[in-house]
Amino acid sequence: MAIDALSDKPARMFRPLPAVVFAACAWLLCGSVIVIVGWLLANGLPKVVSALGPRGPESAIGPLFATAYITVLALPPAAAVGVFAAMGASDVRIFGAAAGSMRSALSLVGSVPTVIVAYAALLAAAAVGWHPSLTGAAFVFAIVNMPLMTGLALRALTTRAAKLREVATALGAPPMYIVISVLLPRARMRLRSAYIIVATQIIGGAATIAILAGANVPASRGALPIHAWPLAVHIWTRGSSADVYGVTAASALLLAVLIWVLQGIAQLRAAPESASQEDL
Amino acid sequence: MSPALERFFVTAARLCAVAVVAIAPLVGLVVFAAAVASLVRHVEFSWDASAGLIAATLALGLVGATLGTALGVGAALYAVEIATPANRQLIKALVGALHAVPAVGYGVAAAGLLLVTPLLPNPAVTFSIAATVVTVMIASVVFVQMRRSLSALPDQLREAATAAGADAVATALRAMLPALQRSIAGIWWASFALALGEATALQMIFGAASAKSALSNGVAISGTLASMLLQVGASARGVDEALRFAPAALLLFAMTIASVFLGRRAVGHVPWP
Repeated sequence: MAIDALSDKPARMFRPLPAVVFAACAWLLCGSVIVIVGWLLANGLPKVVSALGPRGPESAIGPLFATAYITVLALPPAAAVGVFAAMGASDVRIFGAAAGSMRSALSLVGSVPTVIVAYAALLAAAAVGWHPSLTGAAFVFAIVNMPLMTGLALRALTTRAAKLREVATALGAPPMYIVISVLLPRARMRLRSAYIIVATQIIGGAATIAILAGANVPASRGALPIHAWPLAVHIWTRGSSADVYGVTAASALLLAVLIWVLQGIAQLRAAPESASQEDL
Repeated sequence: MSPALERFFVTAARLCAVAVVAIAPLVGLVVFAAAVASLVRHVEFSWDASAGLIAATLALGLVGATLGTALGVGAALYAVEIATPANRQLIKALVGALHAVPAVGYGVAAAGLLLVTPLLPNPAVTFSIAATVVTVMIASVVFVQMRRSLSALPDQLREAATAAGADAVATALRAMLPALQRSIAGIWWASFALALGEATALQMIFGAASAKSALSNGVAISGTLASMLLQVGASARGVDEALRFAPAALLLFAMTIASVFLGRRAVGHVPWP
């Protein structure tokens, strides 16, 4: 590996311009979150009471129930298939010579935009005359999130696990025994963190449900059985309207806080394991 | 574990992995079939009208990926290599919070600039707001990936640079940055693919610009391929309405996959969150 610092030119001790540029990049990003939250607070705080009110079209309570509904439906299938797919991709003996291609293909699937997957699902549903409600859309949402879950679970199962796998393989353990009895217990905290991250994606995602359940179709029955759109879709449908901007900003703030809390829990769950692994 | 149970788990794992991998080709097949069906059924589609969408998609992709990668890489180098431990924790927390902001959060904040301020939504203003949003969204993802890549570099690299008399800035600039050159190129391509597919926040911005332009009889950008796909998909009442945008969806799918493949061809596989 070429190290420019070790070339025959003496390294200068301090470079003010690059230091300022790097610092500016970091603080610009930090400032962005403050600006976004500040803007949402300034516009949404006076309307928080309306957003948290139990009734009325502005209320975020129904959308919160709808969000919980789709999360409860979409998370288990995404998690189950994602973890099993990661188990398959994590051991070279399960797919043999195709293992490398499998991992590469898994990462390619994750780069297909959500909006195209949802559009393809809409076309397939329209072709067979199916009009998905929230329930159906939640299951498609699970499919949309399977590549992410697989990627996170694969990382949880393979991070710093090579030596454990080598030892277990040398002792004659079959691949699934290694995954289930050695790697899964070790990756338990990271997997829980992965579930929470996928849950935040489901909670924050609007495009899939909006497309599949027809959020902008007049008199759409897509919000059944909850009779309200999930919070992200509720915000998206009202985001371009100046009349209800304050309530929309308050709802967006509520959604952001919900996701921050969940992400914080995910990081706290993953932190002790990461720390103990770094100690090794 | 009994051999039968082992076989069951191996089969289940294989099936699940194949099912997940099959999502991309299935989506491609459905969109391709829909594009062909739209041609056969003579569903109204104008490539001339879509030229603006394609141009906006490519322009926002290029601007967002380039500025977002530069911003994310610079921020990660500062946070990991240069900042004091207290600043590092603060930056990690704030950029982590930025990374977790949902797309509708970005959309509401950016659309608000057009909706509740006297700002006129002419194409230049709308494009600038959309480009800023895509840049910040991508920069937060790049920051996370770069931090991971920097942590994966061997400590000996830092030790060697320090032994050669380099300070933290020189180490970041002349040891770390060159070591991650290929990785950064891969991140750019992945960012480009990500920017092409961004729909939710951009649709809200273009929707707000369109609503305000309608009031002031101004001209507005119609959107990007992804934002229009979201708009058309969410308001489609039947097969024909859904098919109306199939050729553009196929184009967007092809552009995204092509950018991922081009990135891999150029720099090999780069892990991406």
